[in-house]
Amino acid sequence: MKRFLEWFLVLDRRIIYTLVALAVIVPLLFPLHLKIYPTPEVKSVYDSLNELPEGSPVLISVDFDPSALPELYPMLISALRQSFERHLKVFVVCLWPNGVNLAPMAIDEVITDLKKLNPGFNVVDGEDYVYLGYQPGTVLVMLKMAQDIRKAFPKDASGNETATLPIFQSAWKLSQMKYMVFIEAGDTGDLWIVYGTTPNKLPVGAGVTGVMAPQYFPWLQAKQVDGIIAGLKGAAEWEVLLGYEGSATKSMDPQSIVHALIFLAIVLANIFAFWLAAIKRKEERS
Amino acid sequence: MQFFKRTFPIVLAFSAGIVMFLVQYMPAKAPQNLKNGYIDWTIIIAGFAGIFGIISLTHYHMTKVRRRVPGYGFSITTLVGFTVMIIIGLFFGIAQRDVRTAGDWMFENLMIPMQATMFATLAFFIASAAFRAFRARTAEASALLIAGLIVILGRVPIGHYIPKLSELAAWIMANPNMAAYRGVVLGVALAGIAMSVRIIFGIERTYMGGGE
Repeated sequence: MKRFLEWFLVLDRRIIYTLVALAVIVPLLFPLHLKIYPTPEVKSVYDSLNELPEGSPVLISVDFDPSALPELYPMLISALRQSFERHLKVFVVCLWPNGVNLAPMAIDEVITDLKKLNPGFNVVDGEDYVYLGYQPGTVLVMLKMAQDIRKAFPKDASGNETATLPIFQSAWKLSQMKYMVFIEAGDTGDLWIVYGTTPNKLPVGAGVTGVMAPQYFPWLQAKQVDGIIAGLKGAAEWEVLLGYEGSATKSMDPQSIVHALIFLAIVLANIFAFWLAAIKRKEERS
Repeated sequence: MQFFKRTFPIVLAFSAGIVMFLVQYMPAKAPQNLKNGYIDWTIIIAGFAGIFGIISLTHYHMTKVRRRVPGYGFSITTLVGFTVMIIIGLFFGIAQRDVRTAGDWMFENLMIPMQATMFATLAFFIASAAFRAFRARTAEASALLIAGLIVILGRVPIGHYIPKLSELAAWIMANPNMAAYRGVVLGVALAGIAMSVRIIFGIERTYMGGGE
């Protein structure tokens, strides 16, 4: 028994990697369809967007790069999808240089999907939505946007003069926005809260990676964020609320099984470590 | 020379810091225009910081290649990738909404798969590290372990099939976790203020670099 315990506690990492790979692949091939229950933090963001009157201006900040794409891109899709379905005026900005191409990809994807569902669906660039692209300076861009978004972004990503775009009749500075969703893989979200949303009394939903979610709970309790969409699970909850099965929902089975595997591995490793220590103590005594 | 190396940056940091601090409390047009001017300058300076980053990165990897430091092949890969992306970005455009450019193609077919793959490998490393390192060796480690185990399972759909586990995980996140993070946030904010005061008054000079 002692030899088995010693072998298990220094288990070859390749065995662990194989088990993790199987825990991802098998549920993808044979889905379990585990039920997803939306948490109050996600429901709050969904409800806030749903309660906005048609034509309300909303801001979406895309502050992540492809490394966080599997987790955050589904959130971006849901944010755009709900905004377009609710006929809101959508302003999209990017404060991460490597994320600059993600927003147009998501916008095109959502428009195509919604057109498939409803052939009469139509949104016009510059009128119903605008993608303003990337601007360096992070906090300074936020401060500038608080004064005049058109000055922070003189041109949109298509090269049009923002001063001439009809969408800016609905809002041209942060305090005129009715809601914001930031989707974050770094510290930009904290900066949005401190310099962008709180001073301008702009309600904001925080879409963040799973590992970042814990740090947003103080902001939530202080009502400086309206809700938290935490990682892939949060994105899946948003998809459930919107009533469609996107990539986040499909990823919930593998994620559940991998978490269960890690749970089991940690519990067994601790039990076996205690067991081995007890055997060694017994041997020393005898 | 000493004036430009030491005195001038300190005077500049002091005046910029004091002016930006004071204009926060002056809603009149003139101070607000001054503030806007500062913001514009800083956005331009931030752009130049990017150029310095590029120079520094190139210099670092060129030196490694020139000296044939072990693993210099990675530096060659970095420099080639870096140069190709700059050329494509400068001459074939990126982020054009209506036109598909070579930059778009490289982003979608090279950058996205490579970065996503790098991040995905974390799942394997975390699983292996958690198995080896997450042990209840002390009372504190045991508390962390129990909380961690509840959150690991309680924050995914499978946790809903175990009675009260999801509620317990939500309670941990909204109470002990929130309290701990609030302490961290307040500590960081206070440290930020202290550091700002030190920089404004020239006590903290490490930002000038160089050393003695």
